[in-house]
Amino acid sequence: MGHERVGTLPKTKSWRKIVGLMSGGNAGGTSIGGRSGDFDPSVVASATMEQVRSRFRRLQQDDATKAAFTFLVRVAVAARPPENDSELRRLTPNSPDNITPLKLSRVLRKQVAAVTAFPEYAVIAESAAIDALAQWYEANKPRQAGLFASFDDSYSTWHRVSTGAGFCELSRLFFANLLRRYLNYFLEREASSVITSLAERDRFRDRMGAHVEDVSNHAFETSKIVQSYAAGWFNSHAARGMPSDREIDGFLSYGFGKMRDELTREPADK
Amino acid sequence: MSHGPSAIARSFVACNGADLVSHFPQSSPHERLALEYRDGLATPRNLNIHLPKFVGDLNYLPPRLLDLLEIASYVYGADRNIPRGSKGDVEYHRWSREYHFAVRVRDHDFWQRPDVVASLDELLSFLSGNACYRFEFDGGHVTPQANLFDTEEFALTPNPDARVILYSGGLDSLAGVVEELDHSDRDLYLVSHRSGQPATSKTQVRLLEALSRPDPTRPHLRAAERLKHYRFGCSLRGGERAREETQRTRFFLYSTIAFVLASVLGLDAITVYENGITSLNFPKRQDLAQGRATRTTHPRTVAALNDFFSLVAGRSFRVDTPYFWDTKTDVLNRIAAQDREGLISSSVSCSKTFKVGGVGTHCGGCSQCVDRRFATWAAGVQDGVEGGIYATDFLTETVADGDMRTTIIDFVRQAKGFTDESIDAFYTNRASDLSDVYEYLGIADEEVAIERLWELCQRHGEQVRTAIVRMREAHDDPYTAPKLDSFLDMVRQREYLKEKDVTQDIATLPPAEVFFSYCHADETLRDELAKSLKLMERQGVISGWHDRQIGAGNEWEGQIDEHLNSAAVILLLVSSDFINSDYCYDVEMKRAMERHASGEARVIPVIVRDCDWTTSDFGKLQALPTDGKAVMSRNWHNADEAFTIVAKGIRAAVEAWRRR
Repeated sequence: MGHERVGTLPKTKSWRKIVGLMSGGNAGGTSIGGRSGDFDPSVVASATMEQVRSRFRRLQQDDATKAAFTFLVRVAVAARPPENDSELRRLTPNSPDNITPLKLSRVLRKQVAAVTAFPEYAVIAESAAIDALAQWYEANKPRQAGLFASFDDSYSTWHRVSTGAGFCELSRLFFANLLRRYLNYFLEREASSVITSLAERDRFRDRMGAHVEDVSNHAFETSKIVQSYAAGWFNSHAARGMPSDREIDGFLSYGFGKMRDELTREPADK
Repeated sequence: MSHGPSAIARSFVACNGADLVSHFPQSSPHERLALEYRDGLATPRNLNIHLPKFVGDLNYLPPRLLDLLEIASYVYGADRNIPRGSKGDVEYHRWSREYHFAVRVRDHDFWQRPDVVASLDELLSFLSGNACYRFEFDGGHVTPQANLFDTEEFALTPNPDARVILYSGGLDSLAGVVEELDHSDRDLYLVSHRSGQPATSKTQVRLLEALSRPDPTRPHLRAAERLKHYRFGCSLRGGERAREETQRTRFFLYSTIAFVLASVLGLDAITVYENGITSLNFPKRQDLAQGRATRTTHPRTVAALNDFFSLVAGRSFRVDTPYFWDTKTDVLNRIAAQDREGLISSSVSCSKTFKVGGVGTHCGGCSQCVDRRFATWAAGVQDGVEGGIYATDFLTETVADGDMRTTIIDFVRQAKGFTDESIDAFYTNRASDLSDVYEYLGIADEEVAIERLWELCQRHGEQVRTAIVRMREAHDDPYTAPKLDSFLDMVRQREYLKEKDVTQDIATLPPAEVFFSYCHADETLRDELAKSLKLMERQGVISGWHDRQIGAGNEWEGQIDEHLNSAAVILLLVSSDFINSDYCYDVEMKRAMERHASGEARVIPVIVRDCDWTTSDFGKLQALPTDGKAVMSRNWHNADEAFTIVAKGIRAAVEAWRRR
């Protein structure tokens, strides 16, 4: 009990270069037992994404990814009526009191499981959507309310996600978490093996996380194109009800494209 | 070039002579596997299932239970035979597959029920991380009588007061047996799975011998009479090396053996002693998702087992996990509380005993060894139980193995992460893991469930911190750099690389001011504590202050405020009188906690007398003596013993504080 299968990255030259970058070396290879030094998170992220470019495209197009994001859209649409919580209640029929992120997550898991073809992708996508719900709720709940607010508090919080700006932020969180989890899926396998100082290892995590956050912020906020696209898309497509699968596919494709551009552009700008 | 999966892998497994092709005409030959444990049939025997021996031990088993033992064995056999991909694959799509089983059974009507096959699917898919388990059953299966007594009239006599316990030979099951022996007089049926690894079997037998040995100080235990060990053998034939080492479905077989035994004894529960941190086994890395970190006693697994076993039993049946709200350190403390520390070194936690190579009994670097080691130090029982059992001593020796470095660092990172998180951050950061846990805890209120999980994880994090402090105190030499990439190096590197001057000159730092917050009813105990700290005062490590040092005529409240606001370490001498005192609790403690929260001071509760303190504002802090057992209690031979532990704890905290 308590067993863990410790993963590694492939032994190919290209992956070893990435491991070398993680430990702060140049792209020459691994420095086992080395220090993280001044690794550059944008270089590590960019090199990793380049290495798995076509796989990342498969993840974006996977049914589980679409189902996870569709659930977020469904929450935003259901929370739209200002005084009418019946739609949101319908999403979580077993939650008579407040609607917490975990209660929504239960429903989300079931909807993702129903379309899962590749569990590796499904777990990343569903976790990213759950992260997004939890982070959004934490950031938007009334300051005086704890996590476990009353139903009125929780509904008024979720209601805020149903605006163009609210949906834009929820979407950004989903993209950022999916990207972070997908990068970690590779990098965490060997990070603690090559960065053997606790302090440096934590620094690696923090800087990688901050970089992904920067990338998503830049794609969604600084780049007004995406922000207005997200808000506009939601206001036009969700105003009359749930957008179609095709419309959701279109949004995902646009969002992922912007994220990918930001991620791979970053090192060149420095 | 396109990468990534094209379709999920499938395996079609026929057992007990079921016909593969007629059941699965859509399967390809390379996807098929026939498993058989009997000789002389069309499929050569490729699995050892010692069913006749087990039946012989119990005399008689009804057909459905015989079927169940075979099904669980075949699921385990398939798991060992079918590889789940390489650890170095880019993506782990070979880890999860669709399993399709065809099994010939005796109780066909029962097994083909939709609710039964759905329950098996839910249980096995979550437990193993596979995509699904589909079952088809044929009837007409028979096996010869195991012996002359293999008839219903010779069935084992029910023993409704007994307890059936999963017994691995590890620490948690040891603690459970020790406590059951001491706290009850019931018979204990210990259940093990023999997987063909002699070292594991030897450990279980030796530990059982030690437990059964007459103890003149405990004649009432009657351990030899009350402990009964039942083992069920299932392994690949002829000691063949498994094609897949992870064996995620082994727990299904293990718990099935226990369920079968409990059923014939007329019981409605089995007991699995496993601490909560291991049961939750929150993935420490993203690549550990999907069951690559085991889910053997995860609440969702336990709930699925409850459902499945209830269906098989035809009545409500439970898998009890009484240590779920414990950490590993708590479990060790339970053993210590029974004065049975002597048994600890006979237990084995290691999952990679094949790496031991004749040195000790533990590899020293698998996740179980790492967990055990930190818990041992946190519980303060390391002196008697560590000697020579680890093949690799990660504390002081260079850790050359990359997997081991990952395991050690990520174990500590997770523990540290727990202590860094407020309950809100715990919820937000771990929502994905928590969403799969809380609904299976049997706690209706989500808030209560999350709070209890958070407290458990916080305690684990604090205990790991305590372990590290003790490890460093025991091994760290300020004049000698630890070996590169030893654990001591991993945790000290920051100081050596970046704060060298501070580290080297610690002896020249001024003493840390220690403030005693206490109520006057505990003045005598405060004096005793001060005496215990006197050596540190003489060594210039601390300077102590309490209100009796206020000179006559001085304004007392102002002086208390001044010292409360300047002290580096604040000791709360906790008792019911302390909590009852408005000044102590509302003024001194509140201010102390504010300074602790802002990082200006370190607050240490010293529990001097038993009282209800764990839910107080300072209840989440690491208290002294060990595990907050009161100084004036029967946990200690005398108060001096408790104060010595308190003094050591304060020394460690003060030194850590001065190094900042």
